[in-house]
Amino acid sequence: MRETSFNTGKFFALIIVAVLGIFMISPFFDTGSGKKISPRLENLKDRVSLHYGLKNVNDASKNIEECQGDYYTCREGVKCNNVIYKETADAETGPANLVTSIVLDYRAFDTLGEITVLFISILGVALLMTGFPALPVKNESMIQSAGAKFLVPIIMLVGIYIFLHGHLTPGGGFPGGAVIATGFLLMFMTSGDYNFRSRRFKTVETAAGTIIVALAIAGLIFKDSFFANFLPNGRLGDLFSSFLIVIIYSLIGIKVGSELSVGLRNLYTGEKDD
Amino acid sequence: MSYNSAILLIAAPLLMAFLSFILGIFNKRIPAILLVLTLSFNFYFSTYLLTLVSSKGVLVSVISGFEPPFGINLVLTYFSLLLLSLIYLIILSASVVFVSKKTDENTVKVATLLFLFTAAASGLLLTGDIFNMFVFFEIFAVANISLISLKKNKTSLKGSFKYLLLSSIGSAFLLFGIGMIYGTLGTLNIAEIGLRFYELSPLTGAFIFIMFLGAILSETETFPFNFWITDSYKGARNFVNILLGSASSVAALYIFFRLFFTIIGYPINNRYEFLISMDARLIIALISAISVIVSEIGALSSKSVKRILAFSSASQMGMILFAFSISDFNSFSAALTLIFNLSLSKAILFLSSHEIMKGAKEKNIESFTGGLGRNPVFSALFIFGSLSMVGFPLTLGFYGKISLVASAVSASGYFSILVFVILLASAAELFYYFRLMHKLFVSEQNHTEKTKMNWFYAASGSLLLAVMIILALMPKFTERIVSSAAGDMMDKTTYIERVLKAEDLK
Repeated sequence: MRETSFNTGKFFALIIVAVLGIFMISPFFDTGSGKKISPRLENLKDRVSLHYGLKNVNDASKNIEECQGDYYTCREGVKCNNVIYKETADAETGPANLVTSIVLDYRAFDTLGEITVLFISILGVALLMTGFPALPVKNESMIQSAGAKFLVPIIMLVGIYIFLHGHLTPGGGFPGGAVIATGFLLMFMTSGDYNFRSRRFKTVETAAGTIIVALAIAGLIFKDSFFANFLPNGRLGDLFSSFLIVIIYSLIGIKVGSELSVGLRNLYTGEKDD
Repeated sequence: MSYNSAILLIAAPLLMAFLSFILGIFNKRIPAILLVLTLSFNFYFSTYLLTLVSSKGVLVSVISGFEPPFGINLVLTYFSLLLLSLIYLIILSASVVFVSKKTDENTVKVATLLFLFTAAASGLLLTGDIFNMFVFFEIFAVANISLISLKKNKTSLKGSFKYLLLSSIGSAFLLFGIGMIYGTLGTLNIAEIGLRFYELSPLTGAFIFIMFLGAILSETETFPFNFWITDSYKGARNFVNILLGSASSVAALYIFFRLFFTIIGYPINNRYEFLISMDARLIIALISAISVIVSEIGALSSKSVKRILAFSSASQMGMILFAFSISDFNSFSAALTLIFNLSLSKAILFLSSHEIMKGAKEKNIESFTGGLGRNPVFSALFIFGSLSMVGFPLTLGFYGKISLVASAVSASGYFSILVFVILLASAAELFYYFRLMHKLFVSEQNHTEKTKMNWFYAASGSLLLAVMIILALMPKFTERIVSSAAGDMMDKTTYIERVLKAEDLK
């Protein structure tokens, strides 16, 4: 295109983007009839997540099955559970952290899928990086490398804390694993000759993945449902509660940590099976 | 009795994907052999479930022990299991080809990729939850991207990058649509969304429709979004071509059906209408007709055989989408027959053309010259595949195309005009397939050397050919399975009632 002050292509691109943007925002302000996204959340009772919060999903589905009337009136007529911190024992899902109870209990299968997405992405990176030469490493200063050696154990400890405590406080396997991988990244960036054998890490990672799927299949065997919770749930809010979720979250933490570390190592030193 | 063990169709390949890395340390052959075994198990199990479903109707399989719509569930329908068995058959034949290759440093990783591809395809076709579908859509896309880039030359990296761009934009659109649905209806269960989609305001419905359209058009190789196919098919390895051209296309068409018919459409008087204000069927029909015309022109002007096959695949996909847009019982049967034809014969074509062109420097039309003398078995396979592709009588393609024309003509309005245009465009197929077949018989030298027979290729090709011949020579049997599946597609009410365990929804 000729070099002018007025760029026609950009102008039309901007117009198209603006029209798309108006179209994307318009459902929020739609004045017609029917459901729209509303800040008042008037349709809270229709939402399945209401029952996640009240921990009475099993009651709700039993009520729908027994009740003979209209589907939605049946669903709204479910009695409320009183869920009290440090008192309720053996609820249908153990974690005090609501997000964890959704991520690893009500919708655990999605989380398995997300683990697989990460796994296959790192696998793709490894396939793509095979045979590329390593990056030249710059000389680092003594202060950097010594400081990193102090910091890395603390970073690891924080990561482990995050995934071990995921059923009680915000956090869990994915952020915990990411924090652990940050520790390894720090070692790579500050100590030029630092390296580890990626095969060991991959073995740990795939073993963790295998155990997660095996635990899910154990649910199928013991409780007739994939990912069913077959260990006791304990009292809500205790450190030793919801045992299956703690185990799976720790495995996810280990898996994500080693996975991301291997991915970062591949980017730094090129993929080589040693 | 519960049907929760159907999850093994997804869990078995997933478990093997993780396990194969550990086992691959000892011997690199083990994952490849496990792959064939797992796929055989999956194929057997899915056909077993298919017989179960054909006698009992739609079955629901619960995950985590929470009943739908609260938890994630799998829905076993005749339609999904039929397509799933087809996909397993194709991945099985592709993995037989993969096993025959020499082992190198990437063998274990590629086997893992194929395991994950299988798991993702199973998840896409079985799940009854739309966010779960998105997750498997992502795995599926990343598996495809990595598989395309395996050759690591310029074309394959270019193709893989194009596919990466389009599929990531597409999955972002899908996520927008899903987010809008969850924000308004407060549920992710496909059955419940399908039940309540009419409650949405018209603008929100249109927004979701357009987001879904943006998500799926690149996967179904439809015209404005199919520029990735030229490099992706040309640069990919042979077994990846089989997977891309057959298995991925079938999965994409299945997602298309679930998104646009189970969620947005509603059946009335043996025909689907759409729950949004604009004429959605016309939009889909127009896009697919344009896609057929452009793809046929692309195939006519290409010199590379893989590109010709890729464009021909895109035009067939356009034809199937057109059959979907007519959206009555007959057109769904036509679409299913065409899906069978596309996936089986395209796999045969990719397989045999690779063997015919073996040893040639440039893999274009000229390398087909004298193929019959060099490689009679695969030339015969190629001829059979292309005859079925162009719709020669007594093949699957013939049945598919003739029922498509019949249903389009009986449908009112613009469909009979559009099907005329599509038929004219697809006459170009005759030209380029017969040109290739003609080259097989022409030979400049008197004495030709025979290429060495690859028994793995022959085994996997003859497996596909056997299925195709059975389907083509037993029209009664084919019609029975196709019409049960089409009946299943039309029956949205049973789908919703069985999933939500509600008897009187109407």
